[in-house]
Formats: sequence, C-alpha cells, structure tokens
Amino acid sequence: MLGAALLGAPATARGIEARAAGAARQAQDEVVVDLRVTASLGDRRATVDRGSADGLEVGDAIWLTPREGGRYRASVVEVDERSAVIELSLADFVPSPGTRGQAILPGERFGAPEPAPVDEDPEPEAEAVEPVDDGDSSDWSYEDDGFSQDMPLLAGARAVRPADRRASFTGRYYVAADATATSDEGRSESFLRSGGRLTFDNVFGRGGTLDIGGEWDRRQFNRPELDDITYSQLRVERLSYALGGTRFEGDRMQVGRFLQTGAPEFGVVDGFEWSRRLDGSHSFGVSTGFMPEPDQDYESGHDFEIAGWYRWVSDPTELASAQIGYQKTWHDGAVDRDLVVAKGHYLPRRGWTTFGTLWIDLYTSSDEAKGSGAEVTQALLTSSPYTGRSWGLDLTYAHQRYPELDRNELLPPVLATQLADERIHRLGGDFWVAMPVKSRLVGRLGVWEDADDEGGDAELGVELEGLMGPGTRVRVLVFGSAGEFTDVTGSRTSLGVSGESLSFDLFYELANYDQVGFDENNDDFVQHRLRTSVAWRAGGGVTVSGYLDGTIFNTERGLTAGVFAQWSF
Amino acid sequence: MELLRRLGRALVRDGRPQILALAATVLLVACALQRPGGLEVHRWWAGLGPVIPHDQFPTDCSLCHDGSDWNSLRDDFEFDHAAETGVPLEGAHLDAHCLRCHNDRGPVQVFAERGCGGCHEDVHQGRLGSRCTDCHQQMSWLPVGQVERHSRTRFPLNGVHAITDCSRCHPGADVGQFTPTDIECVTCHYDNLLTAQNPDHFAFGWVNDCDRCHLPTTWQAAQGF
Repeated sequence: MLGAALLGAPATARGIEARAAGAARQAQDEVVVDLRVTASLGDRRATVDRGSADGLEVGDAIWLTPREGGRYRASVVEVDERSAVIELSLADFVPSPGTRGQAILPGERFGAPEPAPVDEDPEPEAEAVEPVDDGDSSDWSYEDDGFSQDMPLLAGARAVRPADRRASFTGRYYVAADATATSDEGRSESFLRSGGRLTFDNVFGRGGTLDIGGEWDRRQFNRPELDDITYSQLRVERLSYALGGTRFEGDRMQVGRFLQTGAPEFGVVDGFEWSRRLDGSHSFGVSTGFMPEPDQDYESGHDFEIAGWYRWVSDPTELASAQIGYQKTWHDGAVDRDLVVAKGHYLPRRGWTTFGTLWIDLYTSSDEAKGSGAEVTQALLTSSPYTGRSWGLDLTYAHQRYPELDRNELLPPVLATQLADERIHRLGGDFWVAMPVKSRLVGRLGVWEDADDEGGDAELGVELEGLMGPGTRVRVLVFGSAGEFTDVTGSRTSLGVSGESLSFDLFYELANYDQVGFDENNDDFVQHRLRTSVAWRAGGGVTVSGYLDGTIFNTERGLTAGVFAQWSF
Repeated sequence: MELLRRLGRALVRDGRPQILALAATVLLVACALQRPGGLEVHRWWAGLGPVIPHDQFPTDCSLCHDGSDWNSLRDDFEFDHAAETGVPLEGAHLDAHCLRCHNDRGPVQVFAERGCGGCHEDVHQGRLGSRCTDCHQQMSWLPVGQVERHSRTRFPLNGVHAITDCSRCHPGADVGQFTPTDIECVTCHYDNLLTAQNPDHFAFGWVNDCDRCHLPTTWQAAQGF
C-alpha cells in the first residue's frame, strides 16, 4: 500500500524522462526532481528513492517538505543507480518514510540524449508474410501507456469514486421532551418533538446523495387568561438528491427541499441548485425555487426565489475567501425582496480567525416604509485568536434592522414605524487570561445601542480546572447588564464534571433585577435560578441528556424538566 | 448607582462612532500583522489517491482493510485519532463514520479550519454567527444556558420571561430561525391587551408603556405600583 501510495504522487521529472526533457530545456539552468524518503537510517541519514539514473550526484542539495510543515535541507552523500543516501543539516529532524522532497539539479546534467547509432548496413527487410487467420484471434496491437523501463512494476493507487462505493446510509433519530410547571394555577407548557435525518450515499449507483429529514412536534400552552394553544405538526425539512460537487466532478446539482449549499443565507428552497467549482477552487452557482416559511409549519408555495453567487478563495487551502450573492424573491406573484449577501473569512494558522457577513436589502420607491435605496439589514463580524496559551479574545459585532418584506418571515409582525426606525448595534468581547494553578480569569464586556436607548453588559470571574478532581471545572463570576427596561446585577456559580462518556453540570444564579422607570420602592426583585444537567454517551451512537431548571422570584416559581435522546448511525 | 450609570452610558454615546472605528482598526491591524502560516496544500484533489493520504500508514494493508475489499475497513478496525493525527475527537464525533468528514466533497483540513460550519449544515442560515460552541456542545447538540446568554442583550429574561419557551417570542425557533423580535411588550402581548377589561385598557388609552404598571414578576395582574 505504501509503495502504491508513493506512486500515486503527482507527475515528476525523473530519470530518462528528465534527461529526454532536458533536450528541450537547454535554456533552463535547473531541473527539479521530486523524490521521497524511503527509510530513516539514524545519525541524520536517510535513503531516498532517486539515484544516479535520475541525475543525482554526491553533494547535491535536497529539500525535504514533511506533511507537518517546514522545509529541511539535506545533501546527497552516497548514490546508487536507483537510490541515494542523504544527510540532513539538522540533527533534530528525523524524516519518516514517505516524506516528500526535491532535488534541484543543474540543467546541463540533463543534456540531449545521444542520437541512436545509424546502421550503415542494414539487414534487408524480411519478406512480408501473409497473416494466417486461425479463426479465433483478431489483430493484436499495443498502445503505449507511458510506461518506461525505469518505472517499478507497481501501479499507483486509484482513488475510489463516489459511484464505486457501496450504497450506504448514515443518520440520526432523536426524541426530546420538555415540560414547564408554574406556580400560576393552570399555566403550563409542554413540548414533544421527534425527528430524524437520513443520508443515503450512492443510493442510485451514480455517487449521489439522497437526504431525508423531518420532525414531528406537539406543543401545548395552557393559559388561564387566554385560550390554550395546542398543535401537532409533521414537517418535512429535507428531501433532496445531490449529485457531483466532488473532487472528481466540479459541477454540483441538488434538487428537492434543501438548505442552499452555496449560500445558506438565502434559505431553504423547494427547487434546484447548480454550482461549479473553477480552477483555483473559486466557484459560482445559481438556484431557484419556492421558499418554505421559516416557522413550524414550513408552508411553501407563497415565496419564489432566484439567486446567484460567486465565491473567490485565495488558494486551495482557503486561507481567505470572499463571496457575493444576489437573491430576488416574489411573494404571491408580486416582487418582494432584492437581497445582496456579501461574506468572507480569513483563517490564518497563527492569528485571528475572522468571519464576516453582510445582508444588504435593495429597496425601490414601492417600499413605503424604507424608501428607495440600499440598507444593511444585518451585519455580523466575529474574530477570535486561533490559538492562545496564555490568553484569548473573541470579538463580535452585530447589527440588525428589520427588512421590509411581504414574506411571512417577521413574526410577530412589526409596524411600519418599527420597520423604518428600529435598529440595534451590538459590540462585545469575551476574554480569558491564564492564571497559576490551572485557573484562568474570564470576562466579557459588551455594549448595544438601538433607536431608543443604549446599554451593555459585563462579566468577570474565575474558572478553575481540576480543582475537585480530574475533568472538573468550577466557574464563579459576577455580572451586570443594562437592558432597555431592566438592569440586572448578580452572580453565577457552576460546577462541571466531564468524562469520556458522562458529563454533569450544576448551575446557580442569584440576581437582582431593577425595573427601569418603575416606582422606586417596588422596582426591583431578586431571582434565584438553579439548574442541573447530565449528558451520557451510552455507546453505539446513543446519547441521552436531561436537565432540571428551577426559577424562584417573589412569590412565584417555575420548574422546567427536559430530556433528549439521540441515536446516530 | 443605576448600574454604573448604565455602564458608562454604554461607553460614552457621543464617542461611539470613534470607538467602533478604533475597534475595527485594531482588528484589521491585528489581522494584517499576523503571519498567515496556512495549511499544507492538501492532497485531496482527484488523481492523488485515497481521500485520506496513506503515505505514512503501515505497509501492512491488512491491518485496516479486508484483503478482498479495499473500499471497506475491517470490523475490528480501531484508530486513535488523537494520537495518530493530533486532532482529538470529542463527544458525538467519537462515533462518527470516517467518511462523514473525510470524503470527496472537500478537504477535511479546509473544513476543520472553518469550524463546525465546515462540515455541519448551518440551520441558522448564518444569522447567528460562526461560534456554534457558544450555545452547543459536542456531547449533546441540545443548547443549554440560553437564559443566561439572553442577559447580554437589551432584553434580559427575568421573572415570567425566564420560564417561557423561546418559541413564544421567536416563532421560528423550532426550525432554528431566531428572527428579531421587537422588545415592546405589545409585540408579544397584544392578545393580553385586547382582553384586559378590568380596567378596560383601551378605554383608558393604556396601550403603550405597559412597564409603568406591570412587572414581569407575575403572569397577569399589575403589581407593586
């Protein structure tokens, strides 16, 4: 297998090929010969799979590029016809078998091959012989497949195509139940949901993927002052077939009900999406179809969309990307939304990973609340250190306004004045700083501003790892928040125990809420919250979790219990 | 002290554009000064062999494969992902099939760099950002601690609001859509306003500023004024 994988490497200039090619490269000063380490000999020495037949000579410089990164220099110290021994410059680097490398050799070493000797006295051609048809053989011919005598008699590993794989399926099935009881007589809530997702690979033998997902919900609100609310809902969330979009096939198409792959910001569609990956890993795509309304009914047929997008990436590793897309929608046949989404990321290995997305609505004079023009209706920017041993910082900026839509997306509905004026900006930073004895300082600072007010929040605390045994984490912090109607100060204490298959959390919050603008003597109250939760990975893909959450304030109480079980297969 | 004068009037209102501009500048400079490093140019593309490079695997293929079928693994196949790759798998990922992450649809290194959204479908359609682990855990995807997280917004959940299901204010919550909800009381409590007859709120013109009389410490009656 190793040998096969080695030969699965990209085409290289080697041996006779390189020599032959040299004739056409008289003007070139250097020829690059790709090679691999075949064994490490110790004492800074290793063998490589190229030798004098490939142009190597003692003293040639070699550069090794191991998969884990870096570039290491070595020099050739012994040469055989098909292999060579190299000596590394650094003693602390031991190349493993398979490590790639290159030898950069002088071009003159690969001069034009000597012309074949001309036979001055050729033998007379043999007399032509009529072929004999024996009745069970056809003419035999040999096609040159590029094999040359300096190649080992092993074939490169052929990558398995999606259509080659056996049809298989993966998925999950889950059931969840939550119930809340309160001290207000007759007031309670319950929610039962059960659903699943199945992904069939290569189900039709063409390498495609069939995706099926759905959920059944039953919800009940009992309210003494109003009519109770009870409903059951079965919802098909995904039903689609996708083909292509693999390393063998740059074109991808998907049909059915699915969340758009190229631009999820454009939402779920009952329709069709097609995309193409270009050279350099850039891509573009289009989609069309009806958009289910984003609530528990998933009612479709009212909103039709067409969309297109283009994505640029800096290189195949996608260190940076930028994407722009446009979506036009119609609601019950009338033009509704013109939406532009621009997004990008920057993912340096050592630095700050950054993601950003802008939703820009384009309005016309028919949009009465907004008026004509462009407006950023949502913006998100997050940036976080990729690694940090002694500190960490996460920054988030978010901005949101209501878009003017006919589509039944904003629930509860908002008024025209709210559409025109309402906005919010939020800027927040979460940080941690390592402290002695497996502890760290954690904190957060955030500010917000909307059309009427401004406020913010702050948290500061300590997190202790392993204080109460392996896998335990204790966090104690104080917090404050200035909201639109409420100011709050309080403290939170949590204990977490995490094992490989079992985790447990205990949480307590004590807070004082001050109602802004209320009568001074009655404007605040104390609230206690206590929660415990447990998660168990039972094996075989089964996880079970549950929680109990109690809230007490003034003379009122509420208790919520929930359980969630999932089987992944 | 009115919560430190409303947290320094939310960090000095008049200076906020400058503060935001400064924060954005610091962010951009920090990004620009970082050494990109970057991933190894991955070996995923067609023609380069198996999805997972086998260069440094043992030469005894039968350690992992059945002799007659290179497309499947032995029933007793085990792989210590943390030890062999330096990337530990946690929670539900411990039970995941290899091909769920290592597949023909893209290089796993590139997916991993993007975080959860590299492999997982973002049912929130990008509207909640890229830091999924703020709400979700790997052991169980069920989010916990949402009430605490809500205290970072302009509408901290207290009293009866802390015991109310998310979907009462965010009707799309069941399908992962937390569309913005206006925080004026009447947005969610319009039905209550219509039925408020004792006294008749409409008759008195009490249709706004509910918080002048009502605290969120009780589900029905005004209290404490």
